[in-house]
Amino acid sequence: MVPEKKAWITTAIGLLIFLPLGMIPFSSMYKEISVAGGTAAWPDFSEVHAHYSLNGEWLLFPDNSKEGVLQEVPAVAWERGTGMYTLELYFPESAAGIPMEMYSRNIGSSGDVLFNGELIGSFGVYGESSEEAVPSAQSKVLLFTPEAGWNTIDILVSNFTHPRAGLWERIIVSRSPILSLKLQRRQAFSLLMFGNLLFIALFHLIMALLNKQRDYFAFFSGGVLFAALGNIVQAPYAVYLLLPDIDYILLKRSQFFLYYLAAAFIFKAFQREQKPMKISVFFDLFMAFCLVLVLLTALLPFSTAYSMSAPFYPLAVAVSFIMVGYRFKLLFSYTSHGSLQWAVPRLIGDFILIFGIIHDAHATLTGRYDVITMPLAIYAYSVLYTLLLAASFVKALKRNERAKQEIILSADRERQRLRSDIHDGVGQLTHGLEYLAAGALQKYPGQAELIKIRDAAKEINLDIRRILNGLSPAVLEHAGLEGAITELADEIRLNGKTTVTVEMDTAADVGSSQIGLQIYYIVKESISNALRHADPDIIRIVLDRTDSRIRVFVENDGVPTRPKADLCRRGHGIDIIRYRVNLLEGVLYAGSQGGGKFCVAAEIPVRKSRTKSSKRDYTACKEFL
Amino acid sequence: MIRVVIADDHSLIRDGIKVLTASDPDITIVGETGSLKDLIPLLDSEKPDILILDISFGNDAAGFEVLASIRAKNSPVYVIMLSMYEDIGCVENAMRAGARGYISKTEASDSILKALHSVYEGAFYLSPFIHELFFQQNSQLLNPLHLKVLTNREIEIFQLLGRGASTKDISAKLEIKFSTVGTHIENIKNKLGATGTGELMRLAFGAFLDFRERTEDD
Repeated sequence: MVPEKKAWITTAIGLLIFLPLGMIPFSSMYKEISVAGGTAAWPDFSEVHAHYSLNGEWLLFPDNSKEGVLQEVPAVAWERGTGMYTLELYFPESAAGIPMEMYSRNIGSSGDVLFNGELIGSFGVYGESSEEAVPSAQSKVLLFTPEAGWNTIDILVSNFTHPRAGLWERIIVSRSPILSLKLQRRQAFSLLMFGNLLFIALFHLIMALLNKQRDYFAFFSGGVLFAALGNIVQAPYAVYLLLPDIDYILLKRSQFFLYYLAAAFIFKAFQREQKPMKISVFFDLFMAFCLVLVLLTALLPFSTAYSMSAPFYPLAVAVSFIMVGYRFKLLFSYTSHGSLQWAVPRLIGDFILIFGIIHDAHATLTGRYDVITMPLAIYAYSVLYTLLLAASFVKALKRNERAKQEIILSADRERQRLRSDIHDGVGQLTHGLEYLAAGALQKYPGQAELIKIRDAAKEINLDIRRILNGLSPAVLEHAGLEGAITELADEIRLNGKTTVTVEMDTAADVGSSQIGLQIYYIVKESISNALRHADPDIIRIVLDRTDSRIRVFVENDGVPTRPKADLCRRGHGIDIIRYRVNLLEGVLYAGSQGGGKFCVAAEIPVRKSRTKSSKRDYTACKEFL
Repeated sequence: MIRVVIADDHSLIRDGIKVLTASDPDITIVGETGSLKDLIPLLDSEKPDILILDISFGNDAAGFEVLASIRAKNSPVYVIMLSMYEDIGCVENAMRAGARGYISKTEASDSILKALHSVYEGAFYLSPFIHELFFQQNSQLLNPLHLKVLTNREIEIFQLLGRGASTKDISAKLEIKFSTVGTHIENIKNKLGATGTGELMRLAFGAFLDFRERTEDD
């Protein structure tokens, strides 16, 4: 089956699974707080009774309504106008005087709460007309102390704003301070998510400024920023902590257009990430649709704008399934090429997002806001994608490291090949030519042309000798590491004022193996660095070996010619030495010692014991110091 | 007449050496080969006095192995290594393996005739650059003053070591006990500050060349 077909079938199956899953009424899970819960000291639960009555044009959501049992009072909504909600609670003598809390949340309505006729709190400003009423969307915990016998909680509600129906979410009663602590936790979590999302948005913005994949990061950053703001506005738990006097209509308008923008940007980010793709047009259309909605939300009266939000969710679900379908296609294509490219975790992220969209679409269409999953879904999606970005970054770093090592190896191999080619090819020919000319001169002495040919060939051969010596340490093959390093030291001794001493444990001579070659270069480059940057009198080279490690130590007594004494992380010389050490899975210390001497100390694992600890254990290196 | 076989995988080098030696009436090239496989049969059939042997054949330093197998067969042929490798380790390896001479290809046009004659007469030969390299390496230990700390018997043994003689050979030649030779060698090591037998051999070989040169100069 072709990947495309397979992908769309899988997506369709996903749709069949997720649509019903997203419509699960989470309100049934919303039972964690009750009078019964956490009431070990509650005098006698069986003696507590409650019943409620509703006056006005009420719409009652019937689930969880168990009259006579004091758990949760069902959520209610009412048509435009005013009404009263009465909750009667019976407390036995033993429960009287114990501080109690009542948690409640309104959306778009306003109201006063009275306990036994006394005002204990307000949501917005209650009013008999739209001019008097000031709506809000708040979560509050109100305190009261019951008396023995029947107690009455009256909630006076006015709704002149919400086009569908004013909502007064369930009322929960419990002992103090269970509910206030619960509310504080929710508020703290909302603010934490808000802060995290702002950071993620900023992080992606910086990536957009620094990275070539600018469009993707910019759109993702914008999407997360709008989602963060939308979440904090949507979450009535927290927004009033930041802006206690915010206008409800402004709040709702903001919520709508922030979420529209968030969706548009996040889907656009996906589109830019996957460029080019045939289905781009869907994402462009969806973005255009979202921008139109933003405009209308800002300009039209709230109730009209609100009703226009209806097509948003189905379209968002459709686009998100197109996204998932495309992701599946990539997944199947990548699988056939042996690379998943993070497709699976991305799919998980996409499904989290889809779940949030479907659930909240269902909640909106049915007018139930008990549990809104979108803020959490967006948060999880953004965090997951940021983690994937971090994982990609780590992977890129590793790839980069491997590339550097491969460059070093390639350069070494290339030098070796070049040396071999010259040695066995042109070098032999020019030497043969020189011998022929010299031999001919013996036969025909004084021939000017022959002298020129011989001298030219001799000159070429001297050049070849010089080139070969510079290209690759053939000495390593014939004299081993000890011989090669000794020769290196001799060359320095002969060519300058610097004294070079070599102290080498013969067990450290690993010959011309890859380890030997790299150790040779580590020593050679350490010496070159010292000569180039410090003009030393003495360079001391020590090589020794334990059972599983070779330790290389190159120290010089020169004074650095650079401004600062610590050359540890400067210049390419040390970097290249570090790459070589990394290539051998060893550890490197490069820096100034206490006495001012600069040293390069490397510890190279040999045999099987290339252990993790050897990568991090610097103690052996420091023993040199 | 010095009978010479040339073994080098480059025909131009072989041709060049043939032309270089053509002017010397004492030298005859009795055979040449570019293949190590054919070398041993060639040596067996021609029985040359000297073999000029390249170290590298293709990408391998196979010349050393051939040299070792020739020495293992106790073949009387003297071997002069001819190579583009100009490092002391390579020279030492060749000499330890039983070569009588080592010539850098860069110096062959000037040195080959002298090398053939020297080796034919039983001497060791290093071409000038190789010789210089060797003595730079060992100069601090090869000072003749150092050798004065040795007794006459020790100098004798030291010279034999320098000619490539084994402890057994020395014992037979000087008609002294095997263990006595060992004791002398230990004493020489201590007096010259050599850290091991390898270093002592190197010093001995260098000193032997040095003696010869001074003798020739005198």
